[in-house]
Amino acid sequence: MSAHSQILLTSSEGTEFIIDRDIADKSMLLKCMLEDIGEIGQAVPLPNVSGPILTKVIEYCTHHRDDPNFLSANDDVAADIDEWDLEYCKVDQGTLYELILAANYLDIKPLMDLTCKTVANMIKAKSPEEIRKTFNITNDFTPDEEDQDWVDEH
Amino acid sequence: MGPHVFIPSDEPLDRREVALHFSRFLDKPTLLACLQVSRSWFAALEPCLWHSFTLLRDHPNPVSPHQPRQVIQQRQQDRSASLPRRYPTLGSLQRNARHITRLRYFGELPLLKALVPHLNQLRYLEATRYTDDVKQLLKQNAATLHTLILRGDPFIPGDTIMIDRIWHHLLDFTALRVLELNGAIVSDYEGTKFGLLCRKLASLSLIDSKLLERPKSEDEFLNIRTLVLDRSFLPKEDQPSLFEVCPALENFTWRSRSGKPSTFKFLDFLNAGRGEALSGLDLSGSQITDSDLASIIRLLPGLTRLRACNSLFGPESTRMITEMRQHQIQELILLQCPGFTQTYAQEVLRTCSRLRVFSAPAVNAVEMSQLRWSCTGLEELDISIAGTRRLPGRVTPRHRGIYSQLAVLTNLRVLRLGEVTDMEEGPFLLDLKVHSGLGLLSTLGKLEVFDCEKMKPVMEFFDLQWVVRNWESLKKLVGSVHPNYEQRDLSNEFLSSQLPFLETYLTQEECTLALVWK
Repeated sequence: MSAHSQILLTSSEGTEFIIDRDIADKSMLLKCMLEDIGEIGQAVPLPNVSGPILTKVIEYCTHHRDDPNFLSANDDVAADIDEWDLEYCKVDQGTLYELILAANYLDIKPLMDLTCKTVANMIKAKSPEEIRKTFNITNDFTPDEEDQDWVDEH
Repeated sequence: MGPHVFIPSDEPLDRREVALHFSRFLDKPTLLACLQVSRSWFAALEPCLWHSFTLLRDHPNPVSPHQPRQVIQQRQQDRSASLPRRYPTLGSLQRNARHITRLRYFGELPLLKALVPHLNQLRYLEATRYTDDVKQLLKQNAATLHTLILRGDPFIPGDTIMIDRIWHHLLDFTALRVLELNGAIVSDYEGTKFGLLCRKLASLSLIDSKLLERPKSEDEFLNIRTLVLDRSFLPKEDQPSLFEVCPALENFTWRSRSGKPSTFKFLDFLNAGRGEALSGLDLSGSQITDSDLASIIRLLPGLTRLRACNSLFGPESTRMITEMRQHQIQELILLQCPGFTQTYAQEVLRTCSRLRVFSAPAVNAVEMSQLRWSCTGLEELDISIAGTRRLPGRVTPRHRGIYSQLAVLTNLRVLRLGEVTDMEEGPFLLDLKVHSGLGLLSTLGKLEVFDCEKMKPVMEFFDLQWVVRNWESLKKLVGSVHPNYEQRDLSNEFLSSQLPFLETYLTQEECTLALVWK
């Protein structure tokens, strides 16, 4: 298997993406899949990932393709996010959510860590109301439930 | 292909692995806030609160220095087994018991009985009694348990438990790698079971246990990397050479009964040849001579961590460290070693540049102020300062030297300070005032624990404010409460308003204030 062999991915809308094998290997899902089926040149369908999101994911994996610390990084939850990654995550919330789902589905742990950390930083030290405002979430607790003592205050 | 519309949704959190992953990046207050955002967020994140759980019954001295981050502690005043304030209720616990993977259980509580049927996913279990509940938990979790710790109550000195015929049950444990037992007996007829079990283990700790003579299995300690023998003995046939028995050994601890001179032939036991992998050694309490200790250090080329509290560590061992191991030694813990004088401590601090953890009985105040330490990467320091009488008379220069030496240690996470003076030398001279010199320690941005309990003076309210404002990482502060009621009230009010998640409690003996922040 040469380092420059290529893989064909198909997004949920049917858009085709051709990427190098080493970039595809950043996804544990694809890595295992490709090891099993070998390089027959068929497209790998990704029905759970849309075209725009797949583009973003490929962008991330391409930027980090030579990163030696790719898998071992990010176990330290307090570590700072580097510049490029910070810029990468400056997207609207919907995209950020979709990226989390894509990283989870494709099993790309560093991207999962990055996106989760980004969302966590957005809500750090905020009150429930402020968190709702940040994500446009409706408070669907009934007044009784809101007062419920799921947290003991005595 | 039309434009794509992204509708923000709660979807990511609906997947359990996403919720769990996400919750790792949230501190406790934020996680609790998230639970109140909406119903779907509550449903997704509530289980994440219960990943790890500690059940403590009331006891006089709650805190040990090394609590895992997720520990939930019980309030001092509350005599019953209810959960502390600001933590989820019993109802939440019952809903989520099945998600608990780490359980630490101290004492005996009826609450555990109710939870036992739900606890099927345990990877870590620590208990202080080998009760029927614990036996049931072991049966239920044989496939998942990775770590099992059964020891006496750590808060009752000398407490032991009797563990009867456990080896047979443990054989089914396919995932078990770490085992710590107190009061275990391996009799001759159980020898092979013990051997089979040990072959899987990476870490074995035996406290107050007996291994009787038994038929040996092949390679039973082949994979052991950590071995702790605390008041326990290997039978004579295993004694000649530890490294032949445990070729992969990286950490070895041997603690004998205090007061008894050890007749154990350590030098033979730790004979070199295959001891290169050993990096951690703990011989606290053993009455090995200074000269033998020095020989042992020489025989272990990979030694980076040495603990020998309450031992005869002295000039020869010091020389071995400062001349042969000075570039590699990272941890040196020598509390209560009468032979490890201030001079030797100074030598270590001067030569061992890679030291990260250092504990010594005393360090000389004048030398500390004048001579630079080479170990600027220190992360944990536990020392008492002696000879303060010889420092220059006025307050500021006296403190400046000491505090400026400490200020250089910007990697410090744990700092324990004391002052040693004898009656002849006069009163205690060091204080904890910002204006005297404490202010120089604003450089210690990573400090998590500051323990000045062994220093005579109390911390005034002004200084306490400074501490809280400057040391943002501080999690634990131990010191003496001001005898003046007004000061004490001011301090308490300040702490509860500034740091609402700070738990405070007083030990029952003296008025020692220990503040713990989760």
